[in-house]
Amino acid sequence: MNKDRIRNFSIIAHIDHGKSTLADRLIERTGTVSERDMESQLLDNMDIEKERGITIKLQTCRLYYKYEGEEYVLNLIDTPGHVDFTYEVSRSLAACEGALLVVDATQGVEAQTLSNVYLALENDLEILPVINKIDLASADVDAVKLEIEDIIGLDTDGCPLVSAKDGTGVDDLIGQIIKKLPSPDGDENSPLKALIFDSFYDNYRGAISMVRIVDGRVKAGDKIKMMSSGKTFEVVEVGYFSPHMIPCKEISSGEVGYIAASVKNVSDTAVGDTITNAEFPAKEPLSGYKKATPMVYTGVFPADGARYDDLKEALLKLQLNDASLSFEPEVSSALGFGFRCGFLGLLHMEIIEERLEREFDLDLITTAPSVSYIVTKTNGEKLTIDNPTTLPNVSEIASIEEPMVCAKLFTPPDYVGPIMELCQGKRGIFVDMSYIDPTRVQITYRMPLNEIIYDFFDSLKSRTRGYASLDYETDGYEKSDLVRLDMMINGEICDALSIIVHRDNAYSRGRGIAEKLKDVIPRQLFEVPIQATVGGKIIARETVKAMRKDVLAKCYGGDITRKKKLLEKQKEGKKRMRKVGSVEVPSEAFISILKIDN
Amino acid sequence: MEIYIHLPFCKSKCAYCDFNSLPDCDEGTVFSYLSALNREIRLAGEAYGKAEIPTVYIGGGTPSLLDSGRIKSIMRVLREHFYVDENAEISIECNPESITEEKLADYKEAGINRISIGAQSLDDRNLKSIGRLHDSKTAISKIRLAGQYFDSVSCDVIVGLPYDDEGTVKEEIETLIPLVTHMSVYALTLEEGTPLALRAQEGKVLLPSDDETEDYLEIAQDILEKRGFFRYEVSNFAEEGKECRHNLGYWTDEEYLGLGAGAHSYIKTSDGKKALAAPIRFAHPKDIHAYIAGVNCAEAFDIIPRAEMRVLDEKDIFNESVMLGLRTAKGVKSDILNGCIPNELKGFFKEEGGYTSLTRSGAAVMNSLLVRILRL
Repeated sequence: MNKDRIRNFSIIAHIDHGKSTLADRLIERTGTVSERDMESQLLDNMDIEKERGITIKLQTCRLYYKYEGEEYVLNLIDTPGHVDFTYEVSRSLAACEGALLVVDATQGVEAQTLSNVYLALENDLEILPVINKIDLASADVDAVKLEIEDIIGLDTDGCPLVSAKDGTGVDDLIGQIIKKLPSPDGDENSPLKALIFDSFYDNYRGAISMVRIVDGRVKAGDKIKMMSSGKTFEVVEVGYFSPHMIPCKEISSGEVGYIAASVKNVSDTAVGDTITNAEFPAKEPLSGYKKATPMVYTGVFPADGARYDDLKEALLKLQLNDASLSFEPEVSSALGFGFRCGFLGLLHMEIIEERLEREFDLDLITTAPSVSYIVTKTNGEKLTIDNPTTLPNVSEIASIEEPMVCAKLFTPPDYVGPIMELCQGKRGIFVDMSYIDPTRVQITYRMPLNEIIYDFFDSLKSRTRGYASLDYETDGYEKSDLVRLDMMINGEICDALSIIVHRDNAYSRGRGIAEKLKDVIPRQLFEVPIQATVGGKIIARETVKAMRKDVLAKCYGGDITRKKKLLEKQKEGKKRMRKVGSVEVPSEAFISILKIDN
Repeated sequence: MEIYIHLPFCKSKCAYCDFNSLPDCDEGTVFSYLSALNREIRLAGEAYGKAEIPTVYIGGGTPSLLDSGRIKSIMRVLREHFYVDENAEISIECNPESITEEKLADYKEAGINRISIGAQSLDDRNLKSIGRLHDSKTAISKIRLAGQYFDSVSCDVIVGLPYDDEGTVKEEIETLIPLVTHMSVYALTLEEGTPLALRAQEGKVLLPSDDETEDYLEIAQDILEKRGFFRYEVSNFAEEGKECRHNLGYWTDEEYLGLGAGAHSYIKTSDGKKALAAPIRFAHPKDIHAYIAGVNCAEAFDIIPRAEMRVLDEKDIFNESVMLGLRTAKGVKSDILNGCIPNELKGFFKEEGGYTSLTRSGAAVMNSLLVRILRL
């Protein structure tokens, strides 16, 4: 294929700025999907994506468009918009030459947009600003243009003004994509070099690599080699997405497509790896990506212990298409057998949990999210701890370091006060504040990640009525006065409720959790003390009073069956309880402690 | 073999009741029901006529609502087909508003020797809010009247009603004690879907908390025990020798035959004498018309439709002997419970003479204990 006729681009946008709708419009306008088959948000395949209006997995779509008498191939590589999925974004950007920066004409530039723009610039992408939602009455195109020029430094002169909703300006946009974005480089006669930017598992064809062919060409029957592992496979099928998988004879330099080669394990199609021809191999692999590292960890347990294997199976299946999900077995004395899972962030965690419950029909109990701490023991040994229960004894700890983030918050000036108060309360250290324009402020804080994963997003949203946006990136580790807060139920530590907190917050958190537990633990046959302890010292206490009355009074005319049924029902209810020592704790108890507002 | 006879008719349905009772039935239905009941007594007699009958209990519904001649007739038919023991305890349930001197005299003539009266409360506001048709004055006067005819008089009291407090509960128990020989004291159970439960859910009626109700129960128990009423079963108190033998039979593995719509039977023999391989429990259809049709079509007792039929296996027998036996003051044979009671629960039990029973606090939380002990 003539490379001059190819444009590979992705769309960068903040959530809600209309990325998926614009993608739909491009697909529709190029006639890729007939009107009959058109459903909204075509590239968002998962139900969760459609419902929440977010993109989680990146998708690609090949579009054909006739422009000034020539047929062009436009490869749209859709990207997730949320801070958790920056890693996926960087992967898809590496497969493109250009990016559309979509900015909502009523909202302006948001924190997340900015970080993805920087990612695109790092990848040497040509960026075409696109102003969307111009049909809305509150659209202020000139102000947004100015903002893009001031904050990002992009020229907005003549940039496409569109309404993805009603289709205004989409033809002009396509013209500008062709005119302003560069065509790919590369040599189709050199040995094959294909960058794997994503992979997924297909039940019939095995692990499938989504690739950008940089050099060379590949077709069915070719022998290919994974350059990192040296493993070889025979190609069964190559093709592209439009938006569904369409096989073709070959894909060559400059093109984006897929390679199916009967690969059994997704781990053999590692994202970032380079595929080459086994018989005429390339000398050097392409520079890949660094592996995504989990930021947030949590214990995930089946509510019904008997479904451990189902949970394992489900996690394995999700991992096939989501390499950034990690998990390993964990045993809790309160919750039984489960998994310690690592996620890219809170949204990633929520989505995985929701998919487990929805797509695999599992009831889950999750423990409080944790981050990864570096613990130096008194004997000099260094440990990485992502589970509070594995924190060594206080006497053995010389110091604990916690991960920090650099948090950037964008907000209208009205909310500067509440945001600073919030960040201060979360142990944030003020770094910088600047006015982007009279209506928008950028505030930068250095904060412990530990504080962000707790309830930061919710608090931010409620304090700013949803107007503020947040982006963060990791910013090293820092020594901190951290302690493990344990909850004792009837004198026994409940491992699933332990959390690592800053010493100054231990008291209020301990008291909050104890109060909550008192409310959710039903009265038992005995009085049940609930205590919050730090290093063996009790810092808060509540009591669940003993139950006094639970008896079936009347027995009408010898109806024993009815009594038995009631007892059976009661027993059934108990099965859903978790045992902590001799105390029955409902599953909600473990979840409710995640929802305590300080 | 004990016999229970069910008469499901009531003048109106009480707000807390979800039992098998029919308010305001027409005379034709009552007639059909009673003739079906007569037929069933005959068929049952053909099957189990060899059994000796130590107790008969005529329950409802409101048996006292019916003309007392009909009760006399039921008893006559029963004696025709069964051998009712000379010293049999024969009880009838009555509501205060429908008791008359004439009825009491007829009951006595029919051989009935024990009256159980649904007083429920002596607070008129309570009585009104739960839909009872009598007031406290009527309750007291009718219980007195019954005492003139019978040596065994019982009354039912519900605590945990909307207007209960420590004072009212204390007063009503003390007022009733001199008038009766037996008292059943229950905590109110809110049955799903009853008008009272709905009103409570909607916040239209405010009921005492579980803790308050338990306080009232304890107040009642204290007074009763002080005045010589022995708590021989979780909810039942009696002067010595005045325990309800029929009810006690339910808890102590006695065989019983339930006659009438929705009545429950527990059968251990094939003919009143010869033991079955395993005991069975069953009930008749609750629906009165289904019952009538079922009985009228049946040529033998075995053919009358049965609901909830169950042949008890070893596990059922264990479960029942524990859950029923523990209701009584005597308790369960300790060897049955051997090793079944977890250490942390032992404080709720006591042992005497080879029997294990519940302490007072244990009896109050019996369900939670049973759930731990039974093999459910």
